Amino acid sequence: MASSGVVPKQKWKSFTADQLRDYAKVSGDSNPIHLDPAAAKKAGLKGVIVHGMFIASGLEAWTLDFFQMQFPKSNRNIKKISTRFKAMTFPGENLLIEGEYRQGAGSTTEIDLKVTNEAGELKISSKVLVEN
Amino acid sequence: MGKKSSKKKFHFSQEWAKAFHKVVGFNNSDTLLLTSLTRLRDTEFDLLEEMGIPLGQCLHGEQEYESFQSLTIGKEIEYCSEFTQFVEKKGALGSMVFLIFTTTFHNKSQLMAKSQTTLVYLKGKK
Repeated sequence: MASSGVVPKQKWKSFTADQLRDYAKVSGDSNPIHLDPAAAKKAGLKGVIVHGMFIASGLEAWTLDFFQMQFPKSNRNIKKISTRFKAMTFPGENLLIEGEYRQGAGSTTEIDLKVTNEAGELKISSKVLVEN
Repeated sequence: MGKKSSKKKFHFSQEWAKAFHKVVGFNNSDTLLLTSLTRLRDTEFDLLEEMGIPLGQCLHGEQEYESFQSLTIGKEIEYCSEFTQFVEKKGALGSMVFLIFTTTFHNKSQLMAKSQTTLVYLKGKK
């Protein structure tokens, strides 16, 4: 297994208001700032924002797919995920992923990922520890 | 601080996993994402309500999940949250309060995972 490498910057996804409603139902997170424009404005936001954990779960799924492609023999067992929500993401914003990975302690790989928008604004930084 | 929620239980059924994975874009039906544990944040929301803090004025700042045992479909998880830290800062956006919760997740008394959640409570402009 390669000890280190780069995750090249690449287009990822955007989110729609309908998807936020679907996510609220399945996750149980019905915070109105994700669903109700009036409630979002009352909280001082310019509109509804994407659930941070919606992005984080999508990023975990992406990480596992990436890991499977890079290291097909890996068990892909995620031991730890640390995510910082740096800026709000609005429906329709196109997001990109980039990052790097390195050998961690024992038989683990550490992956650092950044999610930005097309203007380069950092939305999420995430550190993932994967057991190989 | 030190305030604990009541214990709750959730069954990670095949149906729930299928629906969650479809929404977040995960194409593997055999395993659960570690972040599936976000479904069990209702104990944090219960504590917020008890503290009189409206969920609609909270932003998610940080989230950490650590796994000790594989989280698999079909398991019933018992979970409980604790309010562990409170930090208030004043800035251009007014007063912001950082609220930190830890949650533990057990299956048959065995610790499966733990999480730490940081919420930012926007108390409004000065």
